[in-house]
Amino acid sequence: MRSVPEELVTTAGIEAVPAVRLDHVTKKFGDFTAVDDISLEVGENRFFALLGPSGCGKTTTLRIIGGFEEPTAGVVYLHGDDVTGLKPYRRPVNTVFQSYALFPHLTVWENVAFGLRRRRFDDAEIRRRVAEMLELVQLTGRENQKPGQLSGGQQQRVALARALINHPRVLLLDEPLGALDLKLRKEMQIELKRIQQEVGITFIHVTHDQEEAMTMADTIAVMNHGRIERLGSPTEIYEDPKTEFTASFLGASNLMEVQVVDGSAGRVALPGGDELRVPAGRLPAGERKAKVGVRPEKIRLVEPGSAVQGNTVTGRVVDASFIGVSTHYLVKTAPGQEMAVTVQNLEDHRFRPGDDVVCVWNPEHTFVVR
Amino acid sequence: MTTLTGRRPRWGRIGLIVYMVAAFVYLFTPVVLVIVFGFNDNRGRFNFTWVGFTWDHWRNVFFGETFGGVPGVFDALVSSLRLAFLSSLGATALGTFIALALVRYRFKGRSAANVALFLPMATPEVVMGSSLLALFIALRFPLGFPSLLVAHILFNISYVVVTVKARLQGFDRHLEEAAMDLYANEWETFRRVTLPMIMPGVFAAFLLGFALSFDDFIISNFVAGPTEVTFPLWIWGAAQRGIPPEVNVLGTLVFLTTVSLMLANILWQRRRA
Repeated sequence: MRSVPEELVTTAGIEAVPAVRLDHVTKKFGDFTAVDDISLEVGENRFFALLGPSGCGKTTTLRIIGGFEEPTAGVVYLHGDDVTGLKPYRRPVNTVFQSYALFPHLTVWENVAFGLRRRRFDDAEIRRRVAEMLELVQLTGRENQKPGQLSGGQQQRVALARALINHPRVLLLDEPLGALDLKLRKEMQIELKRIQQEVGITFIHVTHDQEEAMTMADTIAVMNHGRIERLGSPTEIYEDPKTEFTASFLGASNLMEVQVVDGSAGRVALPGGDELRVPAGRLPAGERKAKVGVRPEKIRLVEPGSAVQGNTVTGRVVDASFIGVSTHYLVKTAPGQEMAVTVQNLEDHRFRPGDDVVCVWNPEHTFVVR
Repeated sequence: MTTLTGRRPRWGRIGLIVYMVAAFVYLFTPVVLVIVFGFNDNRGRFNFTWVGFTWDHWRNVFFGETFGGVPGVFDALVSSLRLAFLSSLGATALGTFIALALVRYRFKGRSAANVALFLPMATPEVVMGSSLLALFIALRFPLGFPSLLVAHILFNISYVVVTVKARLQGFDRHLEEAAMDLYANEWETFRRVTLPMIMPGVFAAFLLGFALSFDDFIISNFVAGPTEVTFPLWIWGAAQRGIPPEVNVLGTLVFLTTVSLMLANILWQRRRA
């Protein structure tokens, strides 16, 4: 085997250096700012997701890391080395494209071998590694087929094999599951996660599907308008989204305008006078008003007069829909105010439209958004 | 089309078939006549009436003057093939890169370049031929094969650019990014991914250029100079003295070659698909 280019050799003892670091990166297309002054660190062996709606700058950010776009300003580091301005073929990263971008005129085998051949590995080594990689993605026996003869899921796995065979230090995935149907997507989510743990490579995954991001990633950056709105583990950003955008992008939430009664004690009041408690420290200091929220599945419904602890809001059921695993209620709590409540079907008793109820939840589950 | 009863659609159908047959007869009668009269044992300088069957003219074309045949036919054919091959090759090479630049990049003068490329196609050949001759003389450029080559590359480029551009329009740019992502530099990306993918277009452009060059009379007539005789020029010269059936033989050969090349291209494309 010929020696691997120096930048691809894994150096021991650099765990402190992040795999990817963006330092005040901005990308403008004419007047449009696609990426707006992003700074970001992704640690070694992480499964990192860039999550956001279309046009939020997540794909541009990925393309800047891959070298397909040059940032207007800012610096890109890969394992501590400044790679800004380096061509894609000089970066120790590989990409799985949204459209897969398989070479239609080459066979599956030639597609997977493409990177090794360009790096002048010897034939025996290439044959060995391609066979190994095709086995990993379960495509042994398809070597001589053209991409056009494969199903979407198989093409997706060829794209993955073609990138992974080069042992990149960072793998970039641009909505790789977007074109698959739901069932296959779920399977591939688990498959990708397994492969990531097996090969121990940093994955940076771009997606607009919050469920996909939460299933696979250990760290998520929620992006909007070219900026990072919220960065953290799936549980952190779900339980405490901190911004209204993140709260609504990551599933349903009930948001309420409140008056701050005692910020340091975490006491706030609804317009009707009912008092709610918020974990201390979540309220911004010195603000008179705030917006708080709670996820529908954190709320229980009880009959009025029941002895309960926690945050309570009274209301009347206006809609109840039985979904199977749960029942979704819509509760009118004040004029023009409704709360969505998701209740697991643990008990036979279900409320019906018109019933007076009390919504109860643990104050710990109350978050504050900007 | 799917009407089950009624006379009118049926009559329409018959009319359509008659029309189609008539159109094909109209198109192919001259071609068939050219082929048939290559075998005519003609009398005198002209070849207009059928006399009898002979292989003589075919023999003349292949063995030339040794059989006492028409002088210069074979040389003219070789000259034209050489010119068509080289000029189309040159135009395809230049035109492919021009097409890539025009489709890929946004630069100053891009739309002007697009218009400029159309001009040779729109210019009457007589005008282009005479002005090229004036230019060559002013530059003291040697008239003959070199001037023919330059002129033919010039008018072929436009057609190549148009043909290759059409192929590039639907090209997925991610394929090139993927190649570069997989350690192929710009040249390797072109060589391994872009070129193979646009090859049908490039090949079609080459064939088109070849045919246009092989066919050209007007511009060639201006810039060929006194000694270089291409095939169309030879026919022109021969026709002034009478039309020998050897012309028909060569015409048949050219026709058969073109048709078999086209068929080969179709089969090749089918196999790739």
